[in-house]
Amino acid sequence: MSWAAHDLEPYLLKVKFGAAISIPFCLLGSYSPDLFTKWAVYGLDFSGHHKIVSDPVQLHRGWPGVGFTHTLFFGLVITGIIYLFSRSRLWALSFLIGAVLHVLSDTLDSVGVMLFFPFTTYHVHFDVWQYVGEAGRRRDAIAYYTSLGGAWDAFWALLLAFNWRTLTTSHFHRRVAPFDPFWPWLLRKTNQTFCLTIYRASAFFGVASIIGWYTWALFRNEFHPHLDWSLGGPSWAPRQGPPP
Amino acid sequence: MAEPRPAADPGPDRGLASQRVPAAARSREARLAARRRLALALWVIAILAYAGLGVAYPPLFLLGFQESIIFVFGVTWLIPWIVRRLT
Repeated sequence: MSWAAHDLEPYLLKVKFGAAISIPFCLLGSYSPDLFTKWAVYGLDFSGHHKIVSDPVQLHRGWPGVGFTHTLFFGLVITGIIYLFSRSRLWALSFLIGAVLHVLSDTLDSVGVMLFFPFTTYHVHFDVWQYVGEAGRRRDAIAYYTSLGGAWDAFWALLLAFNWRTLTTSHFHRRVAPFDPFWPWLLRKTNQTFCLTIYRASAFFGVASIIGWYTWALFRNEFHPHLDWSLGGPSWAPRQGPPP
Repeated sequence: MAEPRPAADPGPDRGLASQRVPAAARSREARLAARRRLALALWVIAILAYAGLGVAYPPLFLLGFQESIIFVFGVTWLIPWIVRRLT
C-alpha cells in the first residue's frame, strides 16, 4: 500500500492535464479504495494490538472481502454513478483517474490488487516493497518509510515541490476555480479561506506527513530505524503475498 | 456624440514621467516579489511545524489528511495577514 502518494498524485495530474482534472473528485477517487476499509485493516489503535478482523489482507485486498474496491471495475462503477447523478464528465473522469492511480500504485507492494476483477481474482503485484498492514499502523509506518515505499512517496513530494506554484492563491483563482463548477458552488456556501483549505489540505498533509513519518521512523522509533531500499524490503518484515 | 479626444500633449516633463512610471512599477514588482517569498517561507515553516507535531504524536497528526484541515485553515487565514503586516 502507499501512504502519502495517494494525497499528492492528483495535484501532479492537475499540473499535467490542467482544466481536464477536478481536484476534489480526483482526490475522492484517490482516497475511495481505502475510504471505508483502512481502519479495519489496522485495528482500533496505533499499536496494532487491537485487531478487528482475523485476516486484514483478505479483507483489504481479497475476494471474498472488500478487495474489489482496489480494482479498475470499482472505479468504473463509481464513475458511472457520479456521471449519472451529476452529468459532469469532468467530475466523473477525475474520479476515475484518481481511483485508477490508487489501484496502480498499490500494485507495487507485495500483496497487489485484483486489477482485472471480476474476470479474475489474480493479484497483480510487483513486490517493490512489503505489505505490512496486517501488523498495525505503527509497524506498517516503519516498514513503509524505511523501504522503497517511502521513496515512492518522497518522489511525488519532490515533484510537487518543483510545482509549488500550483498551490498558490493566484493559481487557484486563475487556473483552478474557473474550470471546475465545484469551486464557485463551494465559494457561494463558504468563503475563500475555506475553499483554499479544501484545495490545499491534501497536498499540505501529504508533504508534511512524509517529512514527519521519515523523521519519526528514523530518529524517534527504535524498531529497525534504518533505511532498507532493497527490492521487496524491508528485510525484517514478514513475507506477505496475495491472499490464496 | 462625444468629440474625439485630442492627442495628449506630451508636455515638457514627459521624459521625467516616463522614468517615474517604470520606477513605480519596479517598486511594486519588488514588493510583490518580497510578499511571494515571505509567503513561501511561511508555508515551508508551517509544513515543518506540522511535521514536528506529527513526529511528537503521530496518531493525532499523521494518519489522515482530515487531521490537518484545522491547521491548514488556520495557516491559510494567517499567512496572508502576516504578509500584509510585514510588507
